[in-house]
Amino acid sequence: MPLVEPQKLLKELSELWVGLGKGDGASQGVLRACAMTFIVVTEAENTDIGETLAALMPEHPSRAIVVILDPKAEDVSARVFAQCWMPFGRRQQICCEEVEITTPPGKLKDIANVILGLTVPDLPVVMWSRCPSLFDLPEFSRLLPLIDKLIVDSNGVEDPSGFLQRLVAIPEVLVADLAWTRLTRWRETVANVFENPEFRGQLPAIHELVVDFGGDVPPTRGYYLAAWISACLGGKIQSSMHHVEAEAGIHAMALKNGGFQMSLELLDGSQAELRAGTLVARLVFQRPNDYMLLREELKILGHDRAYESALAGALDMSKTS
Amino acid sequence: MSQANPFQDALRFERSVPPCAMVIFGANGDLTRRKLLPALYQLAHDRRLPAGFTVLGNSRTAMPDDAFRDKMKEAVQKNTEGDSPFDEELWKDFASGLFYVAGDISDAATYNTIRERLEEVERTRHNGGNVLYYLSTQPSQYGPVVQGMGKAGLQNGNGWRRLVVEKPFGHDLESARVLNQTIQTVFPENDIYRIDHYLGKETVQNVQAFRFGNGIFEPLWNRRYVNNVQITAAESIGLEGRGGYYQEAGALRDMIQNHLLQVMSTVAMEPPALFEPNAVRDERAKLLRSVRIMTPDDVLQNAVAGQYGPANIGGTDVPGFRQEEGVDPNSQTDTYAAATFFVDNWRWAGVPFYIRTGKRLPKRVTDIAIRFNDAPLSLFRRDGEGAQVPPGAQANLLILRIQPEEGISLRFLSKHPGEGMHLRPVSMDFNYGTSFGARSPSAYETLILDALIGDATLYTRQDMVEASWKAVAPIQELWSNSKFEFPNYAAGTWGPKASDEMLARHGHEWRVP
Repeated sequence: MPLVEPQKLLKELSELWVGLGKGDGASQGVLRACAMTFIVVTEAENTDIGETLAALMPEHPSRAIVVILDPKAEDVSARVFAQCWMPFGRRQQICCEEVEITTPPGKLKDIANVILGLTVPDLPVVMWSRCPSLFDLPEFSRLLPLIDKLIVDSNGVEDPSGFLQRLVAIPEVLVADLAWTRLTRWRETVANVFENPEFRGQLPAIHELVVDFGGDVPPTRGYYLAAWISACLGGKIQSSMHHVEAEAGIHAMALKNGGFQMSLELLDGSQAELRAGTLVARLVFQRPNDYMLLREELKILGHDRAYESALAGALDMSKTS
Repeated sequence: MSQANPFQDALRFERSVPPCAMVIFGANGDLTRRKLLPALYQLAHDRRLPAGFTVLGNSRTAMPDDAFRDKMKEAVQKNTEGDSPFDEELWKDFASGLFYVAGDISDAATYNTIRERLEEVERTRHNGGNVLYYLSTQPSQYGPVVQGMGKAGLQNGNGWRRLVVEKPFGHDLESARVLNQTIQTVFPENDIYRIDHYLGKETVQNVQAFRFGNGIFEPLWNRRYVNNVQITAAESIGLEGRGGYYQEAGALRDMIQNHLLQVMSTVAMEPPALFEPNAVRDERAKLLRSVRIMTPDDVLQNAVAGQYGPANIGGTDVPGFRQEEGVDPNSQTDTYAAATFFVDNWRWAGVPFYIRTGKRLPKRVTDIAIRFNDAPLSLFRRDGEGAQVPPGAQANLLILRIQPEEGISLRFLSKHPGEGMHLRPVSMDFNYGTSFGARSPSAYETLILDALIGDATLYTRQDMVEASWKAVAPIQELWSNSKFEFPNYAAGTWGPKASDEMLARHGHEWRVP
């Protein structure tokens, strides 16, 4: 007899809703919302995701299934509970359901069927892996057929080339990397600069991209940025990455032709300085947290061609650098 | 032709605003302080404005740029609707693009100075000569301002030039036509953006998503299944210092002619072939042109004017309209207007569209209620002893809520749990604020952004404005020649009895929102 049965968990979820509906009389009822099944795979020492999930729920209400890989766990166990919040000025609380499954890594394959039974019908299934070693588990491939989109984070990986290679090799699932999502603000700023026809006229002559990065190795998002710009400009650009004393990640970038330069550099706090020709502007440039990155990524449930192209280009660049 | 921007990524980036400047006429006025600058600051905060974005304000009051910036800072701090705290650093950057030109709009020199300042900021702030002009002056000054701009050549430059005009567009059909002609001598119709902030509201836009993004409801969206449509825009407040304006305008002109007929056109229009500005506006215009024009006899049957009298609401004495400050004690102004419109096309023939609006009603609410026909054969007893459906049960209703809580509700009958077959109405609710926790942009943020991008979908066109004036013209004419026995409803009630009677003649009654 399996320790964790989907049917039993679904019954518990149902009872949970009935209980919430009865409430304490003060909450004036409960609204239920669900737009997807959101599976989070994380390690036992890294389970501080409650706040991120709670923050995501208002915009991406989901059934969250949190799978905790715990080497110390003897067997698979599960519990269900609700994430509720009371929007300001409203009398009804909004609740989303959460299933937490703890499993020893070796039994990951056993929970594939549990997850299958718990996914919400007719809605997309997205998995966020916070566990870099997940790729190395043979059981990982059992989970892939269950999901529509896999979200990983290559931020801080020591072997960018190896990591990108693994991403490229994942079959038949949409893949997203939060390192690419971190680039949106950079990319959007570049795009907005060249909305100006005066600056856009400089594009044909641009021949050089310089990326300054902090940290021990060039970050994957440095490769992504270079690959994306190169693809946008038809591949006729020389890219280089320079180490600077700064927080890990991209610190600055500059696009150059003979007489024109467009640059973007992070400043202290949540600001950046943009220079394009004689134009100088300060921009709000918040460092995104997991919530902000996932909020963006969960909006995209189809192909992201720009990312797919950048992933292939970044892999090539990382191999040759 | 300039090359396309190779860096754009429509999947992830918000629509981008090209480099540009915005000139606000009436920059010292209430609208600029309460709505325009807060909306622009919020757009800057959300990174929606291009680097080098410039605002050039104009009004009569003499003040240097810095004094204008200080005034606008105070206005933004007081009126910003977003949930982000005011950011000093961001403001500094935003304020560096705020400039001011003092000058009387009747003086040709004012427009020449504006032209010179625009040429200067084009050089220093790299905005490519693109300019959005915003008329935020008294409506009577729209014509003279546009003529002044024309004489100074402000409609021409290195980039695009667009004009946003606030409502009201005239005070009747004839004045609307004259105003349109005046404006069109300077700006082509494609560059004129007549703002109706109701169309910028998220739920009004969602009506199109709801109707044309789903296959479930559109098959029911016609005379075979819809019994009647009720559009309500109720305000619980009185004049709030707008006595002078309101006394001249009245509820019919202030709300029905523009906002509510535009809302009705969104609810009732045919699906456009494409979701692009002129295709959508063509369908709205066609619908407005299909509104049956009332005869004087029709007006007597299908339109009701009201004016509130004094009352005590919750222990507080509330003055009647005629007792409000700045109001003529014998005023004949309608503070309540209700009308039954019919749309003469194949989809809607015979379906009444009831529209009502008023001040000092019991609560602030704007919604659209679509009542579907009852089941053709009722299996459940509705009357007498042992009735299975409670009397007056409100079901078969689809409610599109615009304010205060934006969302959609479907009311239908459901079996009450337990013994027997007793039915009761239940509500299935979709709430914008709770289903999507993200802040909805204000109507002004949406509409200003659209104008800067050049998307006129949510703006009204000359033919739409004229069609809606035509629809209310017979009512205006009869009312202006009538003497009403006002007041005819007490503050805090749902309007005059005649309004209920108007629906009763069709066998209907107002729902209580």
